This record gives sequence, structure tokens and C-alpha cells, in this order.
Amino acid sequence: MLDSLRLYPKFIEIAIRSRMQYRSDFLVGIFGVIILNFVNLSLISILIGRFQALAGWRFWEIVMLYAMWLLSHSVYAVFFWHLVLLDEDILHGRFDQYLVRPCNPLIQFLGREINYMGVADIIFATTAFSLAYSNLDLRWLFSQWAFFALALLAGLVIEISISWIIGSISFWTGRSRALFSISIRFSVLSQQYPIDIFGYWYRVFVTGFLPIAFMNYYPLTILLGKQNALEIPRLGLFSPLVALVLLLIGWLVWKKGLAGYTSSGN
Amino acid sequence: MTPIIQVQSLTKQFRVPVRHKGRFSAIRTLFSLEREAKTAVDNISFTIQKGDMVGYVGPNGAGKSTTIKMLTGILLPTSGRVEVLEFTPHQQRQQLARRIGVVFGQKTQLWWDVPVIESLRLLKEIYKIPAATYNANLELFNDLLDLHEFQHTPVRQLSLGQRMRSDLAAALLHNPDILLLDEPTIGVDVVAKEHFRNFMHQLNRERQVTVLLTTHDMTDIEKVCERMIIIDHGRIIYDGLVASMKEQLAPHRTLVVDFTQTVGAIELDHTELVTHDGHQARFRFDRRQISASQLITELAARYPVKDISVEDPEIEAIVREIYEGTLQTPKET
Amino acid sequence: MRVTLAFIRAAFYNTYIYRLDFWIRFLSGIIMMYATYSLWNILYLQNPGAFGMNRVQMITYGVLGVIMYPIMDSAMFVQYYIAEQVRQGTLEMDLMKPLNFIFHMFSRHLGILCVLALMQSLPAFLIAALFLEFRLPATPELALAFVISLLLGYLIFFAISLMMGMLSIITLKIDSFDWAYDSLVRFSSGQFVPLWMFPPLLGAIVAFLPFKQVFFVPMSIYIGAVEGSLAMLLFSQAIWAIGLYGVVQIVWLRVQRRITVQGG
Repeated sequence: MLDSLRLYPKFIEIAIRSRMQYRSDFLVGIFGVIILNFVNLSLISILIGRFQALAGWRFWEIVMLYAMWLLSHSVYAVFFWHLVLLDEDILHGRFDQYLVRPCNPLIQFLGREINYMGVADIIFATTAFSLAYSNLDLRWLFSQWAFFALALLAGLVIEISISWIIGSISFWTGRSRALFSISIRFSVLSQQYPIDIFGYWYRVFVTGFLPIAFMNYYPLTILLGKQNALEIPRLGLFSPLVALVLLLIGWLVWKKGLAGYTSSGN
Repeated sequence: MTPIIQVQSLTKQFRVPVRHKGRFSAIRTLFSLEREAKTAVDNISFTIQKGDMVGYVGPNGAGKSTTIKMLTGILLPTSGRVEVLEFTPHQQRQQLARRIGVVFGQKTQLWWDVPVIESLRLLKEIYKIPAATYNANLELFNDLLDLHEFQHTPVRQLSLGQRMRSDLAAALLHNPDILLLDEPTIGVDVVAKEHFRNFMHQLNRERQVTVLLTTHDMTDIEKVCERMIIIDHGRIIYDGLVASMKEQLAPHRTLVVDFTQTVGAIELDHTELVTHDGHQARFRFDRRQISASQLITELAARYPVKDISVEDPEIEAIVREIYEGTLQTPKET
Repeated sequence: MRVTLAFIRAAFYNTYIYRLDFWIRFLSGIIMMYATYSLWNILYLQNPGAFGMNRVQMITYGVLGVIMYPIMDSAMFVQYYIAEQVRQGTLEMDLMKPLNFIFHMFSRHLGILCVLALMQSLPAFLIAALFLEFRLPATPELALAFVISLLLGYLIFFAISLMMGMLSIITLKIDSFDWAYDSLVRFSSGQFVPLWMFPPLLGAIVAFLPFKQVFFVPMSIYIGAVEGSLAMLLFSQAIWAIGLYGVVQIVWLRVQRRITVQGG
């Protein structure tokens, strides 16, 4: 496994080289990222414009919610976004090629691509976060910054794990694209808005079933002092635990899937 | 001497969803979870010695790729034994991977957007190939595959023939003991196929690499392999020398003649007229009795011939005949 | 005609192959409807005057957006289908078929539309009507106008997506652009938030784009929140559809020329 890990940077090197072949990508990509974020924030401001606050969350608080998610997500997007494409590799038999080499197939798969578009998101997120932080007149102590960093890391691991699990399901079903698009659909909604506004059952869904609420919402309730509005105020502190559990599940699902793998023959 | 590949009573079954028939079949299928077993490989056995060049032939869906996947450890057999280089492939897959090279015909293992040589450099790292071996092999490939002509071209810009050669180089870079080729010449032009066959011969001479070549191109087999195994519907129906096979089982060839003007009844000794529509006639003949050139000479002398071609029996036709029992199948080992 | 039927049958068959996909989409649709229902309920309680219509109308609007989602999605599939063919290099196979390419694309995706409408939208509609205070249109005229508007909206969206797909033949498609485009479409179509909620500047920009014809117009008709003549509204949709179809033909000619010159 260690050998395989040592090869990862070399895979990434070739992935970067591959990407650089498509220069026009870069500019269009940046443009796309700007539009995407602009649209998202516009929608938020439209709603806020009419309602002043959504479930008690004011504009800059929601911006911080969004920025926090985007920070984790952008790192995920750079290195792990192609987990979405795992079903493709399996379907087209490209995965077989990984298995026939003396290197861990997961590392080979992860090393197949790098998406530097995520970097644009990081810049956007950092800017949005700083604006929100100052507009909310926050002054975090070291412990709060530490928790924030931990929550970001947990958020990253949660997103990776969920994608890992969904991707690995294609070992059995051959396709995971529907699951992914659905998961993304919920993510997009849940990460940009305080999930309270979508009703009790929705909250149950994104807390217990697709735990994306732990990526930004719950930790942020603690950092912004909103935790007492929840049934379980300390829920945000569990983010790292949720992340680890999901990671473990991801690893088990991957292993099991790989073990039972039947490639699409003839 | 222990065989380098040993397969005994190997079976592979897949579970596929049942497609319901009859009323409301669609709705029922939507709600059903049933699966049924589909046998891809059925109780096959064979051994391959070091240095052998074996062709593994069969129509589409016969079980060729499934067998290869079991040999490489990608697929777990349902039952039976398989041993490659004294490894159990499925359990020792990565260890086995260091000693074998695989070329999957329709998919390249190389990185698409970067020059070939970059892919090879990365493979050097993956397989931990010593610099001396690496350089020696590059030289060999330059010699035998003309690698230097396109090694700096990104793979996506290569022709199919060049891509095939690059994949061969990639598969052999680490000096594997066994080379597995899964339909490597599919879609490749005739010239490139010739190069491929020559390369295989030279490789065998230089390196003593054991080769298992799956294909449904009969000519590939004829020119490259001494031995062939025919598989159909998951079962081995022939395992023996290529030479014997040709002579005994597929001695018939087809002569296709196009005429410049409409021709009536034709008579040609030692042949059997298969079809004749006035413009084109097809004759079946036994190569043991008469040669194509003799027939061509005869025809050209007596009839207004525009064009002639000779067709070899398709592997599908042979396999069908074997399967139907119209051909004898002496199972030699 | 037979071709279209064949595609419809193929689309249904496909659904049975990917059953898991079907159930996942279906269940997520239900959750989304529920979320929308809750959202507008909560917001209405907060600020009843903000909507300019009553609570049930608002809920109906929101949930209708979710119900219509699969139908309109199917129009967008043609874009991804063509882009995928280009990526795999198999577009030539489609082009070589003895079918008018545009007709082929239309029939193929009409099949998908039928499947999604029947198996996703219709059940969602029933569930929403039963459990989520989802109302039917106030009058039969509105219902009829809605259906016509929906079909026109579909045609418009299909034409646009077809053009985007064709453009991807001659340009390089990049994922982040796809997402950006997708979000732009949803945003300006009024699927989530009715367009009159937009602040003046944004509202003016968005009014120019064709996407509102896809969701906002039919949805407004459905809940009866229409000013002026229904007929005019439908008529302008029809104009959009015809106009876009004309543009599609022009673009297609250009693209075809490009393909034959460059070899694809």
C-alpha cells in the first residue's frame, strides 16, 4: 500500500500534464465557476430580500454557511471529484487495467485525474467567508478556529466518503450516476440554506441518512451560537465522528465491492 | 516441468437479472429482484508450458475474455482450479501482476493525452523496472516496433496500429513471463497486423515469453501460434496444433470470382459450386486436393474474369461445424 | 412514426434495466416535493404578504416545479447525449443512420419524455395532490392552456438543448461550464422561485432569456397567476418555439459543414 501511495504523486503529475493539453478549459472553467457561484448567491439574496431571514438565519450567516461548505467542497472537487466517474471506468472495463497492474486500484483511480477548477472555488469561498466573518462582527478564539478547521476537514472527509460509497455501489449495480446526481441535488440545496426551512423530515434525511448536514450546518450552529435551537445542541461536535464513521463505511463498501467485482465482459 | 499456466475444471457463472415474459412482464421486471445463472465458462481444462504461443479462439461471447480475466485474477472462478506461475491469480493478484503483461485490444492502458514515452516512464515506476532493463527494452522496441517514430506523440493522436504497438511495448516493458493478448488486432489494418505477427515471432525468439492470444481472426492464429484452443459457449471444443487443425478440420477454402460479363454454366474440376448469379460465382475447394493458384489459372484461361479473391474459412464457420459434429474433433493434448 | 414508437419502447425497456436508478429518482422526487412544501409553508408563515398569492397557490407552484423537473430534464438529456457521443467518438454512427439527425434526436428523447412523464411525474403528481395540498388548475381552460404551454415549453427547451449539443460537436465540452449553464437555466427558468420575486434588475435580465418559457410560463398558467391574455402568452411561446427551431436548422447546417470539412 505504501508503494502505491508513493506512486500517487506521479499519477497526479501525469494528470496535470494531461489537463494542460486543454488550455481553453481553464478560462471557460473559471468563467463557469464564477457564474455558478453567482447564481447560487443570487438565489439566496432574492429569498433574503423578501424574507429578511430564513429560519432565523440572516444573510451573512447564510453566506458563511455557503462559504464553509464550499471550502471543504473545493478541495474535494480538486482531488476527488472523479469518484463520480467510477461507474464509467467499471462499465468500460478501464478498471480491469488497474487490477492488472501491481499497484492499489484505488490509488490508480484517484490518480487518474485532477480538477484544478476547484481552486477557483477556494478563492471564491475564502473571499465570501472573510466578508461574512467581518460583516457578522465575529471574533473567534483559538479554540473556535481550531474547531472550524477540524469541521472543514470533517466536511471534506464526509463528502469524500459519501462519494466513495456511492461510487462503490457501481461494483454491484454497474451504474451510480443517478445516485450521484440525486446526492448532488440535495447537497446543493442543503449546503446553501439552513436545513430547517425544508421541514422536519428533510432534516432527518440529511442528518441521519445522507449526513451532509454535518458538513457545515451543525458545526456552524455551534460557532454562531445557534445550537440551542436544535433538539441536540451539541450535534455539531459530532462532525469528526460522523466523518470517521462514513470513511470506515466507505472503505468497507469499497473492499466488499472490489471483492465481488465482476467486470462487464464480452 | 511444471506448466506455467494450469487450468482445471474451471467454471464461471454470472447471475443476471431475470427478464420476465408474458403479461405485465415489464412491470413485473421493475419490481423483481430475481436473478438467474448464466454460465460463461463451463468446466474447462488446459495447461500451457513456458515459451508456448497459444491461440485462444472462439466466436463472440464464447468465454474468451472471461477466461483471461480469471487467469489474471480479475475474476473469481465459480469453481475449479487455476494456477499461473504457481500463483493463485485471484488471491495473489498484485504479485502476479508484476510477472505478466496484458493488452486489452479495444482499450489502451496508456494515458490518453500525454506522449507515449511519458506513459512508459510512469510504468517504469509502477513496475519498479531497473534503468538498465528499461533502456534495453526501449531499444528493443525501437528496433522491432519503430517506437522512436511516435514515442513523443500523445496517445490520442496515434493511429490504431501505432496504439497497438505502444500497448505492446507497455505490456512488455517489465519483462513479463507471460503475455496475455485480448483481441489486440481488432480494427487494425492489414499492414499493422503483419507487423504484429512478425513482432510476435521475434519476441518469442528473443525472449521466450509465453503468449496467450485471444482473437477471432484466424490468420493471426495461423501465423503466430503453434497451438490453438477453441472455445465455444464456454466449452473447449478443440485443443491441439494449428497445423493439424488446418489440415484436418478446415481444408476448405472459397474462391470468389467476378466476371466482366454474364456467364452461363461454369465447370471447374475439384471444386463445388456454391453460388452463381451470372456475375459472381463462389467455389468451394479442398486445399489438399488443389491449390488456389491452379484454379485461378484455369478459370482465367476459360472465362472472362474481372476479379478473383480467396476466402479462408471463418473461425465461426469452423466452430459451427465442429459444434454441429460435421467435423471431427480429435482432442490432442 | 415507427421510429418514434421504437424509441419509446426502448426508453421503457431501459427503465427496467436500470431499476435502481428509477427508484432512486422517484424517492428523491418525493423528498424534494416535501422539502419544497415545507419551505414555502415556513416562509409563508414568516411573511404572508411577500408572495402576492395565497399559501396554497405558492405551495402548488413550488411542488409543480419538482413534478415538472423530470419532464424538462428529459429535454436537456439531448445535450448530454450528443456530448457523450462526441466524447466517445461514436457520433458518426448516429450521423450515418438513414434518419434526419434532428428527427432522430427528437424521437429518441420523446421516448425518454414519455417514460419520465408517465413513471415519475404522474405518480409524483398524484402523491402531491393527495398529501401535499397540491391543487389542480382552477378552470378547465387553465388546465388545457397549461398542457399546451408545457408542451411548448418542452419544445423550446429541447431546441435550446439540441443547439447546445450541436455546439459541443465543434467545441470542447468542459464540466464546469455544464454546471454553470445548468444552474443558470434553473435559476432563470423560475423553477424554484417565481420570477416576479426577482429584484428589478435581475428580473429584467432574466425576462429576456428564453428559459422562463420552460418553467415559469406554464407554471404561472397552472396556478392562474397570469396577467393579460392567455392566448397571447401561448402565442409568444409558440413564436419562441418556431423561431428556435429555425435557428436549430441553421446551426445544424453550419455544424454539418464543419464536420464534413474537419472530419469530426
